[in-house]
Amino acid sequence: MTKKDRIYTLMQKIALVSLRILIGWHILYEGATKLLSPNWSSLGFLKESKWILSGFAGWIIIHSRILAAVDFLNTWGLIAIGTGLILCIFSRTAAISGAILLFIYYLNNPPLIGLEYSVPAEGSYLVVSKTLIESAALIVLAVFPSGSFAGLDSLTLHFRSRK
Amino acid sequence: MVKRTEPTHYGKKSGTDGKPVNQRRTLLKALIGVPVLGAFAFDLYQKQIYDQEKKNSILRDLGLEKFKAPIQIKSSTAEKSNLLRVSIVGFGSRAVAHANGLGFMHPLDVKCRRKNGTLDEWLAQDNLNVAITGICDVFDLHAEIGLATARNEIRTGGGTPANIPVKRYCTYLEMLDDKDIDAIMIATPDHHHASMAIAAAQAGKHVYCEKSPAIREKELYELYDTVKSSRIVYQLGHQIHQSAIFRQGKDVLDKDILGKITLIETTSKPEYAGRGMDQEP
Repeated sequence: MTKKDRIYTLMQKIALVSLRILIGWHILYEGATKLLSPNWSSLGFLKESKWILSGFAGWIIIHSRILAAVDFLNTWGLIAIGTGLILCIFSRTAAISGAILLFIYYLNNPPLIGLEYSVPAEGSYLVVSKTLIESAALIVLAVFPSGSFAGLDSLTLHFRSRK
Repeated sequence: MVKRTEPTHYGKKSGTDGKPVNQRRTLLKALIGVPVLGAFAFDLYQKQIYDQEKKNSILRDLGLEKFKAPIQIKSSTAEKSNLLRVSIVGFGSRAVAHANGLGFMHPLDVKCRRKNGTLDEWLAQDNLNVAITGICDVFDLHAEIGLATARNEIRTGGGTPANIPVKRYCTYLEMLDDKDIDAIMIATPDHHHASMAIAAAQAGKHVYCEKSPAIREKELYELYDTVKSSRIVYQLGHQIHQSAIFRQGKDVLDKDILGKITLIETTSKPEYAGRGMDQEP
């Protein structure tokens, strides 16, 4: 336990834990649907890639084995991150990994001026999208860890402090 | 002033204020995610059932429950004597795909496919007992690619090279004069299709040509008449409607599920929008 935990108010703790669980739920479901759809592939998403990562996305697409590895890592990465956030197990690692992953998604299709996508977005975005906000929210969770007071990480801390 | 909550004191018998630490409470807080995960699993299960039932009901409504995907047609085991000698006119990207379909591939593409693990998938195609014996392209680079593709010895379906020399022709008329060619594949831009196919039919060569067969009504009729009065086989390459979804679509229309069709709207990918049918030839 760090000194920082002591200065969280109850409302702050509830807000942080709620945010963690909600994002965890979303990410876990994203992973679970990919796992349960036998025909899912990141190919469609990567084909739509624009801006600075489009070359990298193109490189993944033309190498079927790398594409298969990306699909596997993406699906199981999302499941691991989502579970980690809900149960709060290795929550800081999960939050940072999730933030990086979402930021990569953002970089592949940022709503910048002049970039047009074949599938229109469900909302109206300019520069900032919900993906970027979710990534930023995960950074918040990594910087303000809630694992020490609610979640399985607190047990680890508990046993460590007993030694 | 904001009220601060009690700090947790793991591993200590009492807190800073002297109150004993509630171990059970610590454990409950630690397991806060478990019921959430349980709720998640339950919802996921419910969603799966819902999606499956929805899919089944759509299939039921459309009467497509018993629809079977078309069976892949296997080519008959052709005898060596039935070797088909094909020449390709125009060796751009479509001809590369045609050559791959016939069981031929450029050495660099073979290398690339071997590297990315898709070569075996291609090699598993049937051996169609075809020899590409001629290439005609005005663009030297394309012609060279065509020659290298036709001369490469690797074949699909365990086939072996027919050992027939591959010639390059400068014009398609020169190609059609060659008696050692059975059929031609036309893979040139659309506006050449009709005139080349007509000349091929007149020369007694079988033709494979993709859409559009012609870009003017007059030449389409001329092509039709020429092919009908010849003894050649003219195959118009239209693969898309062989796909299962078109048969399903036709089934839906035949069963009158959609009612009377009064308007058909089609869309195209943005990058193809400029190449649509609305363009004047």
